Amino acid sequence: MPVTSEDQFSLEFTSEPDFISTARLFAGAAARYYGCDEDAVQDVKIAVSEACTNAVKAHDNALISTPVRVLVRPSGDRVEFKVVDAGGGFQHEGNGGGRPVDAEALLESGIGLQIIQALFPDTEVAPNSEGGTTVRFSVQRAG
Amino acid sequence: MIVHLRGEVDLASAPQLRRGVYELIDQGHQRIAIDLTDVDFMDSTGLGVLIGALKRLRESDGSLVLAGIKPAVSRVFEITGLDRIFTIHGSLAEIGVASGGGS
Repeated sequence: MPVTSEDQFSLEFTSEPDFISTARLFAGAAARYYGCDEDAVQDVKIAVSEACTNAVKAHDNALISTPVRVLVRPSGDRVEFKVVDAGGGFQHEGNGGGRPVDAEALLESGIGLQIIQALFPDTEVAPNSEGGTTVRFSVQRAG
Repeated sequence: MIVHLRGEVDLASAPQLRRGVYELIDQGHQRIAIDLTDVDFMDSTGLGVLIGALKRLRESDGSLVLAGIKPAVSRVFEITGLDRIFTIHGSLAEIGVASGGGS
């Protein structure tokens, strides 16, 4: 889809737990801007919170202080969200989404990604050129 | 013992919640009810704390009850299947507990 640069939002935040709430607010506001309904906005906030939590933990584990980035752009009738870190990759325990997860697994990391996948079945998790992980998902804009 | 939570539970605030609830358990409180009426957001980090507290309480034959979960928060309980693990009530009044006090 052709997208111009002014159609995009991006947030770069210091890799600290305290800023994850700001990332949620940002993502929720961007989703609203692009016309997502309130249920979708709430789902986006959960997913971005989970992805940023993984990112901040990954940066912490890798002892790096580079910022975490949240990127938002429209793509046809959907809005695409990306959370980009440079943290050396986090453990990747996706189950394909949709399935309730084992409660005990909550005590382990990896649950965040399963939640994102359950909310957004098109979720992609891939290594990026910065040596970290990019989590990408998209949400329907309201008609 | 009733615990009233307020605000958002994520990676930044979860350690405070963990400390608070574990302290109550260590003090010997066996029956803990957490009122989530004023919690606007919770992610897996918060769920992890609640699961940990539930496990510890069950090991000592105690109980953990959650109440007042808002729709925005209940979503994450449903996705994870935790709505079937926890004892969840609509409100504290529903379980005959007077609101007020707590921490």
